[in-house]
Amino acid sequence: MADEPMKDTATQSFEFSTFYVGGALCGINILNIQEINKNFDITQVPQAADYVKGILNLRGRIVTIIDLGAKLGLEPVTVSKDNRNIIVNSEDEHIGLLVDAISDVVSAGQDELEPSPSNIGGVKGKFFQGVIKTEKSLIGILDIDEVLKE
Amino acid sequence: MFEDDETLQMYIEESLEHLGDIESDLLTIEEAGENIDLDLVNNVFRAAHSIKGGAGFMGLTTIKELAHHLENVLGLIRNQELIPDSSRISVLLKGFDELETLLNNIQTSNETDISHHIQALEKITTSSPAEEKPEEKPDMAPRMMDIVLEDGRIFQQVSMHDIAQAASEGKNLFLVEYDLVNDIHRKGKNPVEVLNSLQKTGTIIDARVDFDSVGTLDHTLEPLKIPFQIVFASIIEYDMAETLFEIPTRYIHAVTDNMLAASSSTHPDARHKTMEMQSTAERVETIPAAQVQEVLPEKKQEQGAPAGASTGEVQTAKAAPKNGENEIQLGQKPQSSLRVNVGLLDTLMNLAGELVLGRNQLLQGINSANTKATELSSQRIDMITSELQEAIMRTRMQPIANILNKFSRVVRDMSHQLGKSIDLQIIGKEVELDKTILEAINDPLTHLVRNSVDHGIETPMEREQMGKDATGRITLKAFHDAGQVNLIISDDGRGLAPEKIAKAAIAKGLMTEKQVAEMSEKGKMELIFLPGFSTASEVTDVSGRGVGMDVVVTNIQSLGGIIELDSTPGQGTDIQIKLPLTLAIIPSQITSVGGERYALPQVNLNELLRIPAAQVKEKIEKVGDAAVVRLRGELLPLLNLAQMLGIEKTFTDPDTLEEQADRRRNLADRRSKKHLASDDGSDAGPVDEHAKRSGKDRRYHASSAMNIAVVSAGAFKYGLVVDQLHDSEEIVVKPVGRHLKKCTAYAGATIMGDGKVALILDISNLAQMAELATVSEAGQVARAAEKKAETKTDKAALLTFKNTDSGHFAAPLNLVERIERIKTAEIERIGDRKVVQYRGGALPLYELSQVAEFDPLPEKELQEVIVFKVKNRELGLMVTPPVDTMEVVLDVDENTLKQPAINGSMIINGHTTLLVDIFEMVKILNPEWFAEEARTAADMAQNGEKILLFAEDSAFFRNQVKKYMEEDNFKVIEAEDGLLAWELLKERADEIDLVVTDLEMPNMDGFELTRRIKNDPRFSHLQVIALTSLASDAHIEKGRSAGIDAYEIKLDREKLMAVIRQYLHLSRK
Repeated sequence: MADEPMKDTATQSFEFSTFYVGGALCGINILNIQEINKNFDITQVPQAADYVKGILNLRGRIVTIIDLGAKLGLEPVTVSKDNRNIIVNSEDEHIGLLVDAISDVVSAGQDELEPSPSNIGGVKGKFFQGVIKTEKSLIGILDIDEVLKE
Repeated sequence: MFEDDETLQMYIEESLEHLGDIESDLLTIEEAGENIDLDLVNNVFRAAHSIKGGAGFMGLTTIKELAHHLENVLGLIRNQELIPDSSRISVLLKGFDELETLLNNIQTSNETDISHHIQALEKITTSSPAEEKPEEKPDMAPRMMDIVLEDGRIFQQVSMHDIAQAASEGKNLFLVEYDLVNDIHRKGKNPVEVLNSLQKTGTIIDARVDFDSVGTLDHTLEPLKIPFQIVFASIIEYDMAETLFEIPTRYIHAVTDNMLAASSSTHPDARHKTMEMQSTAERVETIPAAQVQEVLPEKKQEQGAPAGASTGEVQTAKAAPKNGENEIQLGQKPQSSLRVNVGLLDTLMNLAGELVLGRNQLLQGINSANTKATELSSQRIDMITSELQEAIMRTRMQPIANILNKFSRVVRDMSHQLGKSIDLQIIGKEVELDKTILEAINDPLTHLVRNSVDHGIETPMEREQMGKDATGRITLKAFHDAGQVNLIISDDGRGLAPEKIAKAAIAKGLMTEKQVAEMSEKGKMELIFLPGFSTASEVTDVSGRGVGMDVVVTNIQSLGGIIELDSTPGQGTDIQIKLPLTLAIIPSQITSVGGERYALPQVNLNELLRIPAAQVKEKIEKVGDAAVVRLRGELLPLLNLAQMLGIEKTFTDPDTLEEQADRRRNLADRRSKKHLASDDGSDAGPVDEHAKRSGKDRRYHASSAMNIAVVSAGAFKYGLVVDQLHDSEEIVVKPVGRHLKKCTAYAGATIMGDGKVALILDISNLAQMAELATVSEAGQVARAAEKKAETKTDKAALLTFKNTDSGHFAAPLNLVERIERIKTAEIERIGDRKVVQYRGGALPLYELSQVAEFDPLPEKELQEVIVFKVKNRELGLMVTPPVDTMEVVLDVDENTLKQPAINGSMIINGHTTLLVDIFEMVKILNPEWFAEEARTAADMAQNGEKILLFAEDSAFFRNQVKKYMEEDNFKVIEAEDGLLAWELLKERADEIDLVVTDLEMPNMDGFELTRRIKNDPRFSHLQVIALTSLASDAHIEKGRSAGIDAYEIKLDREKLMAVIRQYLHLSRK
């Protein structure tokens, strides 16, 4: 992943894993993703912020699961069989993002990334690096560091 | 950089280790003064020497130079040409400090200016008589010599002093020429190892690497070699040298006197140009050119190292001569590393092997579906895992000496600076602690020790005025206790002044006057732990550095440790720290609340308490808003974990099917609500049923007993109410993510056996969250007050009874033999006396109305009799029940209700109670029993009056005992405390025949008084009887060691007087 940006930025293409949070279709650079699972054996942490769903044992590591819906200021993720944890790497730590459902992997060139509007499906623009327009939909590419700010 | 990082790193570590020992050794040398302990000096000398040797080899010129100068001074001390006085040792210590700094900053070491150290050291060497030989140039410190070899090559700049030293010890001098590549590297050795092994058989005077004679890679035909020259002094003979150095004798030169010549060059840089190594062809003979080609590949195979590493080495070797300087470049900051015992590593290897075996067996068992084999191998793996864990833990353990030793230096330097005289004693250096804990307690400990030196110990003058030894004492003691490491820092300084602390706390707005007024002395002392508190009236550069005791406490607590404070004004302070052995794995109690498990560290756990449902209401009380439980007479605040964490418990109402919050307003409601439900009868059942089924609501569960974990952390002690108590387990502490850092209620998380995560509770933070401080403070005040009452004021066990229905009386319990109930009909009258047949004898019976003006007892069918034993005879006192025993603080009014046979009056349980003086009563009734006292009196009338010195702080006991003594015709000199007694003793030494002293007294206690008496030749003949309520074995032992001759428990008049008489008879002989 470190070598990737060395290529010509215009022709360079990214892959995004996309998923639904509330009504919004969001994406995360696939290189930020450690894994996607549906392990919901979550231990609740009383007194934690409301967006913290709890903590999880991921092969011996304690991973904080964050309800992405609540974190982005939407409704908390509704429990369903489509729920997934997207485990991302952030500041040397694994953090799980609980999403409503996952969708396709989309590739796009760097030049296709457009500045994000102030609001995407009810989510503040500051959480996004930009948007990618496909034939069917608009994908908001999440800025993981911004989203995971405490 | 021809040497790899690893070797350099190893050298640094080893040198630092040497330095660690040097400091304490130097301090011991200083202490010994003129009586030089040669072994110790040799130790330091050798250490400095190895550092020098290694530095020479690594090209660390500055370090080498400094080490060399240090070594010179040490050499003089070793030869007893120099007395290691304080100032000289200071210079040495500073020099070694600088050496440590240089080693820690190895990259920049060669650029560091050390000239002032060198000057200071040179001043010592030049001023010493040994160096003042006529031919000596006064400004040249160590003279340099060159060694001229037979072939004319010259090895320059060897310290003449070292050579002379070796010669004077009858050692042979060798110049050994190693080749780093062929003799060391290719033989799989390491230069530091070689140096070390040489050190075992002799002294390395100098070691150098000759870069100038290293060939360049361009000359491929030239053999690759890096000459490494060592000047070595050893008692080994020349013919043995070959086996020692493991190189051909050709490269070993015995240095004889005629080979030595005064150095041609005095310029230190000259050594870089150093001698021309023997002509390159010479070595080639031994290694054919073809073989030389193989050097590199061969090395790769041997070392299994990446190719780049070995070629890199050679390239730098090539580069070195170009620069002319040997640069040391360490890429990154070295990783911290740890020395591990090889035996332990072997054990680990072994266990790892076992584990692999176990896994294979397990796999086999599973594959063949052999349950028995699977079970066996799982047991095996279980065992191996525990052993492995323990062994790995042991690799992390380090002796506490690593940090305690440096305090000798801290105390020494500080006491010099402050003009104090302090003796530091370190006990328990061998105690081991986890490395991380060890590192983490370093700062808090330093702070505490500095505090002791700065604020604790007085100046010698103050101490002498106080009557203390001018030299203060600080003791650092480490020991294992109950799976924890205890550290005690105690000093015999001025102690903490509770009032001063309290005032300061008020002045700083940390406390209100009202709060302080309610506090015990101990509570006031503990105010120094408050954030923002610092007692030093002015900030000194010694201990006032903006770090308060609160930081110390926080640090200790974050390690799972506990800190306790105990101080007696004028006598010193004890600070006790309890620490867990390790942080990584902690034994914990697993509890659960609301379906989630929580781990509770065992170190915080005092006990588990289960209050049966039926007793909840009576056991749980409410104080203000807080629930408390009475535990062995102590009020323990309760925290409801579910409530604290805001865990919402819900239950579904069976009638309305609505979800309702099930949060009790307070704990005491639990039982009464259940009552309500039961009283209703009809819906009690369904509620219970439903609760059981849902498994969520434990309140209505049949087993609605209350489970309490009694925990403590620092100053907090409370009961944590949980739903369920499970097993005790060893858990591995794992950190939680950054989003949970604000949840201070948890100390981390752990993974349970079933793979689920459980949170670890932070007991101290929970208490703070609950704002328990006030509750705890209240409890502390009460406890401390009780404790104070126990220790400071005298408590006595009394038997209370009534005479008639109205009058309350009490008598000392220790005189009471039994309490009997007899039939009035059995009482016989003989003359005006009453007796009863009792245990084969006649027990005389009395009542209070016979000795004083009290109402006579009414006639009853049954009569209660208290049987006292006085003068080995029993007598009965007829009383009216209730007869009860109690411990009370004696606060006796001796005047208002004074009567014959009555000591005085005091209030017990709201009644004015008269204290009966049984002795006086017996004396009135049976004067003939006291014949012996009469004899003593007569005896003393003949031989002169005996004078007793009696020290006692309680006015009641003082008067009482004085009375006893005077009644037996002794003369008594009273003192209110030990210090006054000491003064009185000094004034009237000739008159006093015997000393009787209380032990617990302000200003100076009985132990100290005794110690002084026994240590003073003027008084040591005096015998000391301790009269005390401190009757534990430890106290008796302490008393013995202080020199107390007899130990009497308060207050058995008869025995005390018998002992006094006995000792006076003895002392008369």
